[in-house]
Amino acid sequence: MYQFRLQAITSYFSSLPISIGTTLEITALALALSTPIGLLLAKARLSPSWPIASFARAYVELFRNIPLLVLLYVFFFGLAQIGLHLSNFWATIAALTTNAAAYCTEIFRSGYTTIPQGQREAARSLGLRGLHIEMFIVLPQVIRVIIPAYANQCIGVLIGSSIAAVIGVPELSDWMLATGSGSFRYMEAFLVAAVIYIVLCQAVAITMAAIDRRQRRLSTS
Amino acid sequence: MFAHGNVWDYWRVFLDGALMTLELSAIALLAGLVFGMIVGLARTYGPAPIRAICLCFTEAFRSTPPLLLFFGSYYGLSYATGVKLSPFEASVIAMVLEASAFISEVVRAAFRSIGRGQWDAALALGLGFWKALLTVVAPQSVRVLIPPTIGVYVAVLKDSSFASIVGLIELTRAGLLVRETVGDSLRVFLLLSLVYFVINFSISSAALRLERRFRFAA
Repeated sequence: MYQFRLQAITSYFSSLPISIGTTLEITALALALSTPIGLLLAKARLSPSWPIASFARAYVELFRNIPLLVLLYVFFFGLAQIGLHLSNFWATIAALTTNAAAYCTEIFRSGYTTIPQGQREAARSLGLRGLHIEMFIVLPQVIRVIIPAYANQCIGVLIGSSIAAVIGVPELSDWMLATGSGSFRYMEAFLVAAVIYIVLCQAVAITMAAIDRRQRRLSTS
Repeated sequence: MFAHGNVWDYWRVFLDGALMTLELSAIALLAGLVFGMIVGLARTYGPAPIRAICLCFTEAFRSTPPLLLFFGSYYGLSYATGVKLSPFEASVIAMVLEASAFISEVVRAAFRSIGRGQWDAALALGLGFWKALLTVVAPQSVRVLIPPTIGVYVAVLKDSSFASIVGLIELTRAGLLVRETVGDSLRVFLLLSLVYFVINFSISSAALRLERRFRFAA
């Protein structure tokens, strides 16, 4: 009869903090790279020039519809075949970034569509120029609008970072795979890793909700 | 690496894999609709303790990566219960849990979107709770519900690629197998990307058309 015993995997706990750190590192790096790309692609999608707009649209549709795992294989195994050897860490970052940028584009685009044209006209009548209007008038309002959607995006990237385990990056999911097959305590390893992921996601959600509330308070007062 | 033949010679493997992917995600969607509807309704209208339990269910399975769910249901459940699950059964369990969590969230949002006035009017006309829910609120919610549900289907279909790690021969695993035989990683994975793209893009384009139609009908 199976008995649930967490003590059976305590010897594996020493490598847990580093694994969590790697998971967070992958997530932060992929978000930091995909957010500016998403912003640029969103501007491209709203551009009046149709080749630019349709390029951005094609990018979004392509990378939203390919599973992360398959994207990872393309970057890790596929590119190696034509001589572009990415390490397992950077292949993960590449897959997560290209995928997240597609979602981020849609988030920024929906943010931009909520800004009334009057904001730009008012800024221009006050004597501001193109780039200044974008940077100081439009973008801050866009960021305020997209915070809740961006929170989900952060959580999505955090969850997606588990693909790294498939090609052996030593992060949290890889810790689970190694602990499970090392101790044959699969259920314990799964539950520990799942609880950590859930806690991390909730922490992100709570932080972003607090930022959102603060922004709202500041913008209404 | 040994190379045997061409990627295209193995189109049957890809076709079988794609059918398995579609079958798996369809089962996940249908079962997920049933469980997700129950959990979502309980979260919207249930008493406080049940609401709390359902919230935990949704949050837990939404924020556990699919890789973990497949691992947990294949290795974890087999070792914990002593019942040896086949890769297919384990994949179904993992995907149904994930789909239910996603859909319960969609259901909750859809039923929440129906104005308080609709409830007041239905109850004022003398309808009981269930009668009001089924004849007044539910028909209006379904319209709101369909587009995001198709979005969930695409998400679930993409996540079904993780079934390859428990050894189920679906589309991704089929690609990995062909890759081992042919040794042409780039072409295999680009072909996989293309097949997934075509399937998902057709589904989401159809969803968009459906959404437009429903919007005009409203």
